[in-house]
Order: sequence, then structure tokens, then C-alpha cells
Amino acid sequence: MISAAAWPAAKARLEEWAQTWPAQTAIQGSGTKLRHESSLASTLGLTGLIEHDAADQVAVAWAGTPLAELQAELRAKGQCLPLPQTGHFWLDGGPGTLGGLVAMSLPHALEAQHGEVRDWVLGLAVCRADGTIARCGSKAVKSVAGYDAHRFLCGSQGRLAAIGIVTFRTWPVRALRSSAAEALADGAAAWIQRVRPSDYAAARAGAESLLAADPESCTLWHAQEPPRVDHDWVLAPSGALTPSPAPLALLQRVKDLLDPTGRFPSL
Amino acid sequence: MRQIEALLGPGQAAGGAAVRRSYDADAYGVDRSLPSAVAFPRSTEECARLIRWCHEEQIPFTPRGAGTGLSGGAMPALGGVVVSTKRMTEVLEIDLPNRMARVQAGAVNLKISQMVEADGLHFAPDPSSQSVSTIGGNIAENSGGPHTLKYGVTTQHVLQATVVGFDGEVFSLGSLCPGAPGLDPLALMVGSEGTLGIVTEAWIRLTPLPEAVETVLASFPDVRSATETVAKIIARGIIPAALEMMDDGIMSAVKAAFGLEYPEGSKALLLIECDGSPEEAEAEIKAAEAVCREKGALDVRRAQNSAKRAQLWTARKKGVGALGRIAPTLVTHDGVIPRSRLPEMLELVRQAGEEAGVVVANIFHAGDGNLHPIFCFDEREPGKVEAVVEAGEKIIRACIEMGGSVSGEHGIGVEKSSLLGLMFDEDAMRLQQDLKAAFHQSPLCNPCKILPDQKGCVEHMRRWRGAAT
Repeated sequence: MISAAAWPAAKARLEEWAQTWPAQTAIQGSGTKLRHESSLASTLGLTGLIEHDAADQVAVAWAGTPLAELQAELRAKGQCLPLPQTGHFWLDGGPGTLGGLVAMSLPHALEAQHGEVRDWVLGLAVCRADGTIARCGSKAVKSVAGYDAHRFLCGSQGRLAAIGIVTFRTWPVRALRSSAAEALADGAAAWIQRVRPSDYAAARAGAESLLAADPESCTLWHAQEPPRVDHDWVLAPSGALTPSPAPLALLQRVKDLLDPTGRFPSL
Repeated sequence: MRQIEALLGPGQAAGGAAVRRSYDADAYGVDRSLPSAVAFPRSTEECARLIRWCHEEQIPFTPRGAGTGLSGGAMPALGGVVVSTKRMTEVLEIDLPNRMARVQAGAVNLKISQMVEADGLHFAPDPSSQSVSTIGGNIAENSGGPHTLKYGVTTQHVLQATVVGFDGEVFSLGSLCPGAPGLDPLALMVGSEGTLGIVTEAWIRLTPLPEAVETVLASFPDVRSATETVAKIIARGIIPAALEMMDDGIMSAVKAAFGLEYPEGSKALLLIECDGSPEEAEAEIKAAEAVCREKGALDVRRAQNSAKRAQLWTARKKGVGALGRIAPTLVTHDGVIPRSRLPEMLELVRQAGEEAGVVVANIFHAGDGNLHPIFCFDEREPGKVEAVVEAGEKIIRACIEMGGSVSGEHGIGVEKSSLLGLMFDEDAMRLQQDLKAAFHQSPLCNPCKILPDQKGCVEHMRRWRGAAT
């Protein structure tokens, strides 16, 4: 996490931010992935790289930092987040903010080569619904201290807590691999589907509105809702995932404990 | 015990004095507590039946794999039933095209890799205990190992888990397709040390074996040049499959035990392994060798074949065992720091050992910044256990101050539950408690592990320690 010396001021800033939230709170970065219509609490006032230790390949940054800015700053030190530069591998709107990247944890076209977004996150500082600030994780590249809260909160889409600060791994630019993904068509809002390797060829052949496809991670980006195959998962542009990877009762209990007043959007 | 046999069948439980004694601790032998019985369910269904009964009768239960855990996670802290996965060792399904396997929790890590070796696959997490440790245990501890630097820890290799909850209800977490975005509590289950429920079955990922492997053992005149080499290799953008360090404590032990020879004046060894396509592995190992020479390595030896490779790994794989010649009791600590802080950390470890009056040897995952100082002593000497525990705490405090963590891969268990508060403030701890509470609020499901100050645990702590000394 953020160094001990910098923490009190950072924590105070997050507490202040939480005080500005409306009663119902929809956390939004640049709005490139999930766009909320009302009750917005923007992360865009929380920007900038807080720490970057190039030797350790670990950085800490505010959630509202635009990814383009972040990448430029990391690149100045020969490092980066291993994200594809261009193409369809985002939902519409292109790269947004660091917080959005983590809160969505979407598949990307370098996943087979460099891992999922949640593999890169080492720690988080989150604002909870009651305005308190909780940290999880560390700055170490591996840690088994307590429950893996930061990995769990990656992909929580602002429904459980608001991500304020992210501690993450960085990669030397020279170590970047190339993607095997192919861009096939232009298109806006995408449905993202992942299938098992044994079903990839059939799923690709059966897809009617394919925008892009990555044979390495077996991911398909579609303009329209795709036909389903066994054991796949599909993420709708609304952020809804089917099938659910866990019993809904369990997910709802998590929601009730972390956000008892239902301040953030429902599951 | 008879009641458990009535539930699971004859021979599926044991409760004799000798059995209870052998299940009173895992490999963290400092704390011990006797169970009243040990149960050996054969399936998810039997396990669920057992846990439902424990829940109804209000009997604490503690899951256990091979018992190789190093933080007391499998110690039956409040007595009750130890749920052993010893008879749940089946590999139920292997799906080669999709590179995954469905295994029972008691399946042994290395055996799975051996089963699919001919198909060019393996289970990537390789804790030092892998020849005996189980998938269930690996999932409970989110185990690492030398090769996790490149391939990641257990959480990245588990697709789906079947869980028996605190009350005996069976549910499944995860998906057969990896990387689903959204809320997946499988991330919480992996590494939860059996405190959220018992994983009885899992779909795990199988990783292709690399086409080529290149291994180098480099010896250095001092620890600092070796740790600087580690930092520089990583900074160059090389991601070795393994990057392991051993100090002179380990070197003298393996010299005595196996007659291994290292160049005169060597004080530290680095084991570097690079893999991938033949070209990649060659390019990476060459670059790593160049860094070693730049940093003043006395000798840089590359294995020319797999027999030679196994030889280079000897010190790393058998180093801890060889320490048995030095002292009757070994306690392995586990902490992580940002890797650039390794030189100062190792100095601090040396001092802590000196103050405790014990020999300290270091053998660890340098590429991850994951330390494993090993304290060698005799627990029968009065005051030694306390001195070693105190030295361990000093090291952990330093890890946290450097931005690291109280545990890299051995877990919190009972060993470190009182130290977790050093890393997590009140609000951070509340987040941890809330996440656990989503699964259950029962005081029976592997009690007293991970979170400090659990009901009924504090008064037991002295008893665990008392039994050890």
C-alpha cells in the first residue's frame, strides 16, 4: 500500500471525498464503461501517480487517474501496465481511468500473455458506504495476509465500495509481448464472451456480430448478444454477468454487510 | 468417534490417544491442541454429512490436508474434530483440450503434475511441500513456490471449487472459464485457511510445460551483491521462472550433508531458471548470466542437461532438510518486502538471529521479495522458543514498515493472527471481518485462525504454547 508517511493525508482526502457524495452514490470515472445517469460521485478529482518504484515495479495511484496519463508517466521510466494500445479491446469509449479499469476488471487482448487486471492489483484503499476508509493488500508482489479482499473487489463495479487508491504491478516496456487478438469490425457497446478452448472455433464461427477475437484467451467481443455455448460466460454492456460465479444469496450477504444501507448500486 | 463412524462408516474415524496426539499440530509445531477425534470422509457428500452433524452438535472442526502448513492453520485450536482429506485423493476428471482437471481436495500436488506430464502439462504452483501437500491445502493457504514468480500463486490456478459451508451446505464458487469479471468470492475462499468452509473438490488449471528450461547457479562473495543482482535482473525486464537465493548458512549445511562444493569465498548462491521457447529461455538466461558477472559473481554455472539441473537445485530443494544436522528445532519464518529492500532486510535478519542467540539461515524466493529466514535452535533450552518468536516478530514488523506483508505464502493461522493488526488498522480489520461474516458467523469453523480476538480463543492461547514446551 501507499507508504506510511503519505497515508494520513491520502486518507483525509478520501474521507473528504466521501463526504461530498449524494445519498445514493454511483461512483463514476470517465464513464467509458458503465455510465450512470444520476447520483454521480466522480473519481476525476482524485488523479495522479502517488508513488512509482521502478526497481520494485510497483506503483500507487489515485483511482481517477486517466489511463493514458498514467501510461505516459510510467513509460517515462520505461514501464507500463500491459494493456493493448488500441483496438476494440475495451467496451466503448476507449481507455478510461485506473479506478474504472480495476472496478470493471474486463478481459483484454494481452490477458493470455500478462494476466488479468486482478492479477496486477496488489492493494487497494476503498471508501466504504459509511464513509470510512479501509485498506487491503500490500506493496509486496505476493501476500497471504488475511482474506484476499483486493482481488475480490476487482470487478465489483462500485457496488460494494468506492475504489480510491490502487497499488499495482508495473511491467518493463521491453518485456511486453504482442497480442494474438484480431480486430474484425468497428462497433460500439460490446458483449464480451469467454469460452473454453475446445469451444472457441465453434463459438467464433457461430458469432454473427463479432468485433474482435483473441484465440489465446478464448475471448470474443460481440456487437450484439452472442449465442451461448456450454460453460461460457457473457458480460453484457450493462455490466451484468451470466452465469453468476457464486450463489446469489452469498453475494447478497456480502452486499448487505459491506453496504447495509444500499448506498451504492444494487448487485 | 463412534458417532462419526455411525455417520461415515466403520474405520472412517479415529480417536485413540496416539492418533489424537499426531493431529494436535501441523508443521508449525510451536502451538498444539488435541482434537477429540479425527474424521476421514471420502467424498463431498460425506464431508457435508459430518459438518452438518458438527453444526448441530456445536462441535468445532478443523480441516486438514497433509499437515505441512507452517502457521498452525490445521491445528484444532478449540479441540473438536479434525476433518482429514486423506481419503479424498482422487483425480476425478482430466480435460486435456481445456487444460484443466477436477480433483478431490486430498489429491497430492506433485502426483497431479506427474499424471499429466506425458501430455506436456503440470500444475504450476510448486510449494516446497509439493511431494506430499494437497490441492485442498494449497487452496486453503494460497500456496506459492519457487516458480510462482512467473506463473503466479494458487489463486491464479483454481477455476472452480466445491465448498462445504460452516453448516454442511454444499455450494460451488467460480467458473470453468477463467477470468470472469464481476464478484467472485472464490478469490476470498482461496487463501482463507479453511475458515470460510472446507473445499472438497476443485477444477484446477493445468499449465503447459515449457519447451526449454535453462538453469544457472551463481555464487557471490557476499549477500549484498547477490541481492543487487536480483534487483537488476528484475529491472532489466527479465522474468525468470524462478529466482532463488541461499546464504552461507544453507551452503555449509548442504556441504556437510551432500558433499556439495562451491567456490572458495562464496557467501551467497543465486539459482536462476528461465523457460519458454528455446530462443526465449536462451536469451533470458544469457542476460541473467551477464548481470551476475557484472555484479561480481565468483562462478556462474549453467546446467547442460536435466540431471545437472537437478544437481543445481539440490541446495534449494534439500537445504532446509540439511539444516536438521545443525539443530533439532527449525522454525521457518515468512515475510515479504519490496525486493529492492532485500539487502537491508537480510542485515536485520542477521542481527535478530544474533540477539536471539540462534543460527539463522536464509533460503528464499528472492525474485518475489519473499523471505524465509530459518531459525535453528533446540526447543528444550529454556527461553529459546520465546526468543525465536520475538525475533520473528521483529522481522515481521520490519517487513510491514517497508511496505511488505506479514506473510508471503505460509498464511496467518494462529502463528500470526496477533500480528495482523500491525498491518491492518481498525477499518481494514473490519473489512476483513465483514467479508468473513458473509460466509458465516459460526465460532466452530476452523476457529482462532487469521482474525485476532475471536471469541473463546484468547484464553486458549497459553494452553497451545504450554503444550509445546
